Amino acid sequence: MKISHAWLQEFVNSGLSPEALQEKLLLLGFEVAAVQRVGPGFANVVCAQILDIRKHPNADRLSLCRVSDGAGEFSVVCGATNIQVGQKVPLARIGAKLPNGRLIQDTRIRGETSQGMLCSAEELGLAEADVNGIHLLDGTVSLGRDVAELMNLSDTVLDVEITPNRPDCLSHYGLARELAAYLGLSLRSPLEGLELAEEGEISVPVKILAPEACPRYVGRSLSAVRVGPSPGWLARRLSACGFRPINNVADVTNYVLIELGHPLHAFDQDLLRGPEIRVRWASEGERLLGLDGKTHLLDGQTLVIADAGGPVALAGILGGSASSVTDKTRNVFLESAFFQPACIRKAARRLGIKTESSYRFERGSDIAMAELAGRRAADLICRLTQPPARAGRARDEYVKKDPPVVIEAGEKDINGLLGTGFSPERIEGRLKAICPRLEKTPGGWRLPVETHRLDLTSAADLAEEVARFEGYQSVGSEPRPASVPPVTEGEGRYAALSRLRRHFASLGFSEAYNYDFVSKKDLSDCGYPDSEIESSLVKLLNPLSSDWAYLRPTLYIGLLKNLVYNLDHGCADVRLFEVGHCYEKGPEGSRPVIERRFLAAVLCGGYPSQFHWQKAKARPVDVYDLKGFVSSILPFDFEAGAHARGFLHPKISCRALWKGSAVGELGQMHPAAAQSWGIKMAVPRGRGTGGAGGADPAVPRGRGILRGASDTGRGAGDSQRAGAADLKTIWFFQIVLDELLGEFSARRKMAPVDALPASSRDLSLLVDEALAWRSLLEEIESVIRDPAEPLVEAHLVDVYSGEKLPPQKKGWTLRLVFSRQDRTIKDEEVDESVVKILAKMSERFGIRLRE
Amino acid sequence: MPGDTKVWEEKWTALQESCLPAVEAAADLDSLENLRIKYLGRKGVLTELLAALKDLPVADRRRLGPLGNDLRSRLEALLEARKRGLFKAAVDQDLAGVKADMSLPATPHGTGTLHPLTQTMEELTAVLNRLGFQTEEGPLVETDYYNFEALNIPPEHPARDMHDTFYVGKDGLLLRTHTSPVQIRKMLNSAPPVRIVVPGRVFRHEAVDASHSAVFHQIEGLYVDRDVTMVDLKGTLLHFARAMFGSRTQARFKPSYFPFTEPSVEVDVQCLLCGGGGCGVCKQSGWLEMLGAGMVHPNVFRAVGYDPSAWKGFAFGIGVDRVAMLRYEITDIRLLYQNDLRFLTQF
Repeated sequence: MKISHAWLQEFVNSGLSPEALQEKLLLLGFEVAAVQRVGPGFANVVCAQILDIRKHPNADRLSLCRVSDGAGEFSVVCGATNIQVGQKVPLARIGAKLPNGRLIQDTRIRGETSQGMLCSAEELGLAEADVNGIHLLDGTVSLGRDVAELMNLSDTVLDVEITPNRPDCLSHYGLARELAAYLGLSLRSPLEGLELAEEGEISVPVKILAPEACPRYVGRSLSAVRVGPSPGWLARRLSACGFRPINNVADVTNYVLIELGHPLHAFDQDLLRGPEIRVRWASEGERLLGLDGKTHLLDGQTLVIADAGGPVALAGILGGSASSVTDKTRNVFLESAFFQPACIRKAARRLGIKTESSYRFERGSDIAMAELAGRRAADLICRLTQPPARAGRARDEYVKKDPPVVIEAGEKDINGLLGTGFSPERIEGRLKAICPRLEKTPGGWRLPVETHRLDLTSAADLAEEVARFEGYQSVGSEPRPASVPPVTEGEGRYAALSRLRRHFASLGFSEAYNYDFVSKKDLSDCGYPDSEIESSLVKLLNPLSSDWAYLRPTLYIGLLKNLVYNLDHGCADVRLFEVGHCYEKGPEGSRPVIERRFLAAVLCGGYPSQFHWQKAKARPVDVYDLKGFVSSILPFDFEAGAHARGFLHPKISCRALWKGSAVGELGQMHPAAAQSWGIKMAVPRGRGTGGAGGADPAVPRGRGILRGASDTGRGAGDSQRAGAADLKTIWFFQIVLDELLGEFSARRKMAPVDALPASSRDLSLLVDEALAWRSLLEEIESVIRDPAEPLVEAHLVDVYSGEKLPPQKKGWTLRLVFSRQDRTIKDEEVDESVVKILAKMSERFGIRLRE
Repeated sequence: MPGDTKVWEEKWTALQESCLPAVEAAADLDSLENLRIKYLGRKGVLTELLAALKDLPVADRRRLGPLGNDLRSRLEALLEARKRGLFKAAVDQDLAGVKADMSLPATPHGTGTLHPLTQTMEELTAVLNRLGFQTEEGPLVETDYYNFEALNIPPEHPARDMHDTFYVGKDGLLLRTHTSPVQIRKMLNSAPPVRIVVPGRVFRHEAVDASHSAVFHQIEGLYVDRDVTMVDLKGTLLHFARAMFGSRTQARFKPSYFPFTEPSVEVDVQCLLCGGGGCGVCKQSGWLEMLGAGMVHPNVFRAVGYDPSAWKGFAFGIGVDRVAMLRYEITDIRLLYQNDLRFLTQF
């Protein structure tokens, strides 16, 4: 809130400069967001005396004045009629600047020289309208005196951030009270010596029908009110604090708001329909046209001030337009009440209204202040209106009094929490500044809390007060040795995650961080049907925009957008990975949202680079690279076919299985899907030939990695020739990490390494074109698992097809490795085993050795 | 047979005079090998000469044996020396023909980078791990209870204004606005003492601009034990700040307000860019707001069933994005979520 330094000084004379004050406020926990010097808006305007007035020779309505500022005499043309010789007036000298930006120059007006200007109150920004001509200065003012200085118009406005727990500091008086307690200075109240002459009618009757929301309502009638502009000093203070002056009645309510912190409301009493004012809950469907110009539809949870005809104000939030004070108002009904914070906040939030009044009520106002603020406002209105208005007696409906909050605290409660050694006397001194009614008890103190300190409810709160007043720097910073916390399970998961990230970075992937939000279009473009979006995905109730309406069920969308962005910005080799949460609705009866951690990556271009001078290193990424990346996490099993939604290629994709269940997928992005994301792809030729970025879809792909052996075969490599289309092929993989993280950190046990030399044989095989490697591999693995057989490893080292082969056949070269644990293997044993394996392959798959 | 001895001696003399110069004169490795076979092979001249020793009288054998063996040692040593010399010469000759441009570009392996937020988050977490804070995580979709109510922010509490919230369900389901709900989850699941660090993603419903992001990251610390005081809080945070920003970092502790701590603290560190002199980043103040912290509010202990009179604790939180931006001098928070490789690969 904006705090005028000069105004604050009136309540607590700290003698602190704005800068020093800012420092003190910071130590108390009030940050000053901005400091603004508020000048008078003009400069080089001095007190001058009129020596002589003549008529302007060429203009009827102008006169020529000779004035002196003590140092010199000037001739000035003036249009005002209220001037007389001998008067002291503000002279804007040549070079002066006025609040409206006007610069005074040596000029000629209708042929006569004018060496300056005599100023009206309006021209100096001291009044809203120019009613009285030239502003007359007191005869005692010495000539040449700077008018801005004379009128004490300079001020500094501090924009103080008040935390939500301290609504009692949301006013000049409130902040002064805090400073006075802190600095040990006396506090001057604007209510001191206030003697309101109450006469005339007692106020309109008030009936509180919702005491749980409005425990106190003070109403007061003011009669014979002359509504008009506020005096300059008041208008200037309001403006400095960010309020627009309206009229003297409205301005007084705002003035009291920023002076005492208590919101008030003024009604035109003649527009209230009798016989009484009611504070009640609105009925469903009631409407009110507010001062904001909008009609608000009310419900049973909105507290209203109502007359016989219905609501006239949203209690504590906004006045109604129909009963507002206007220039025609003669009688005012002034409301000063206390509303429960939660009730005001709920209604204000539901109606989408935030006012200075609701801001204070929802944080908590001072119930004791209700009557005082009303009296202060009535007094001000009576003093500011001419002729003075008459104030009636107040009607104070105080229907529900809460017992005062009392805290019991001892020295140990304070020092024990702070780790300090403040003496009881010192603590008591600090506490007494906050709770003047403090009483000593055998265990410490009994502290009845003042009504404005809604934040004080426990001994911990008092400890903070002592620490604040003593200064946080007075608390030490040498921690004592701490006890050892218990070891928790699952700590290794975080280390595993960190290793995984580093692993992919060293494989050449850069890490992406995307928002968790996606649009419905994104989801559709990723193949999610509307029905699934509706039934399974998580929608935000209040998205920032429709582009961010859903929580992502996949990391693909963000990565794909990153890919498009990077391709558009000239980056050809894109390898990005992301670790992030993905969301889906939970099934009935379980958690409403299932949240899982995914690892996903997108690749496009060459591997390791698209532009390498060694051709073998400038080859396009292929699906077996992907299998390799994924297999480097854990030795997954793979199963052909992946994404049911058509996001990935139907043939060049597979699912990753761990212990039999699918945990992820990998593959080429479906060419049609890529097209819909605006990525230029090779034009499909149809008939299933080569539409898939050059890969021959008829080449079967399957399980590629054998435990302990690496999948070095790049079967489709020869059919995936490098070319523009290949390099724009997009690859994805995505793995659900949650269950796997435990596997990374699982304890490993050593297996003995074969110390004896192994033998190997390469077999060139002729295989049916339709046979998948996976089928053969399963057969070979069963041999490896057989302890009687010396076969220990099998690698596919070549895959070829071509005209030299019989039709419907393809060639595979296998490298088989044999060894015995207890002795060096003999050639004859190896030969014997090869014959057995060949026989098995021939029997099962019709495989034979190539000639 | 004395004649045999004489013959042997003559052969030895002849061999000694011929074999060493022959080896000396060998021009290449092949002829050297041939000489080795010729003299020292299974049927080599010297081999046979030494074998013939056994047919001599014992006295001669004793006299001549050392001579024969000496010749073999010398020959072997010379062969080895010549072999090394010739091999070196051959290699040198080969290498003379090698043409290679060492300035050609490398194969770009391991060009990937960890996101600056990951790097920052892991470093900050590691500092606290070393202090005995154990890593914990929690769900990003939270309930109103964990995110607000249990943290002493009941419905209609004005502090909710500081947490603009994304809602995902009518039943109080929301995207967590801070990492603090993990405090509650942890304390509900384990008995004190508790000492945890919680890195993670959080959400605020606010318009995105150069310094605001609807998604950002925090690290939270919580320590609950008997007799934990504000002194421990200050000491830990001072250590944390120095571990992050250097051992001479100055910190300033100010009163603040968080509903779940009392007293509440805000920690400023001396501006990392200007060192406290005042610059644009610290708005000329010389200080940067870095951490929010405080002593755990008794109501939070009550919510998790800890006895506030027996247990005390402190908690603190820090914005990871802000720290990363200061460390790497990143000027726009949106860069962290744009995933431009030209940006990412700088870290």
